[in-house]
Amino acid sequence: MIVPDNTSSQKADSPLRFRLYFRLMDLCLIASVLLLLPLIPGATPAPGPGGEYPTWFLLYGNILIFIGFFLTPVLILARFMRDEYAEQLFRRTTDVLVYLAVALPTLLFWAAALVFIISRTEQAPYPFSLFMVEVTWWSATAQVYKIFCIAFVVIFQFLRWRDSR
Amino acid sequence: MNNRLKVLRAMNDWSQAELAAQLDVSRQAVNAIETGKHDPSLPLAFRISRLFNLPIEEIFDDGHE
Repeated sequence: MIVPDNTSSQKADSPLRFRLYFRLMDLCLIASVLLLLPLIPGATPAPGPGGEYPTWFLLYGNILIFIGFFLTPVLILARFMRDEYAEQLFRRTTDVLVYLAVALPTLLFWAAALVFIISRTEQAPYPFSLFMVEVTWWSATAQVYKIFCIAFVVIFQFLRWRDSR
Repeated sequence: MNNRLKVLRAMNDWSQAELAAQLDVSRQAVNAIETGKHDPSLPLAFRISRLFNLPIEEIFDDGHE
């Protein structure tokens, strides 16, 4: 029988900040999936005649924006909330993100070009038609920021899920 | 890297969460070490060693004789 060195009182659970990190990451994953839903045609309610959305949808959207644009970046930066395993997951996630940052724009460009060639129309089907929309620098930056945060959470959780198998 | 962490934990009748609390890491970290998905840092390996009163090489096996 191994006799552990229990000089200090035995704790019942791991530190709260470490547990909270994984729970909040779970929440961010749900928000990330919901933030991607508008890419599916008809997945979100259509605006009314005046362009306004239902109140519940605005509230729901604001919650998702808070999680996606505030909570996720906080978790990315919150080194003190990661134990060494979470830190290893973080580093593996950033490794994948670097490759993705190089490959994704190229893949998207060729996918969009292929859709344009196959569809032989002026207007490519949604969501590829988004590539032809002129946007401000601000909205482009916001989109890149959102996609980066979503990609980080999805990759982090995928690696964590794969490790748990 | 192979290790005997799961066996040692079972001998002491500890859950992963209880062992994680003793080592000041998350339960996920303990699970990842037990399944060989994560190699602990040297400081954590020493904490494990001290907790079970065993030399590191009796807990972890890097496959070399």
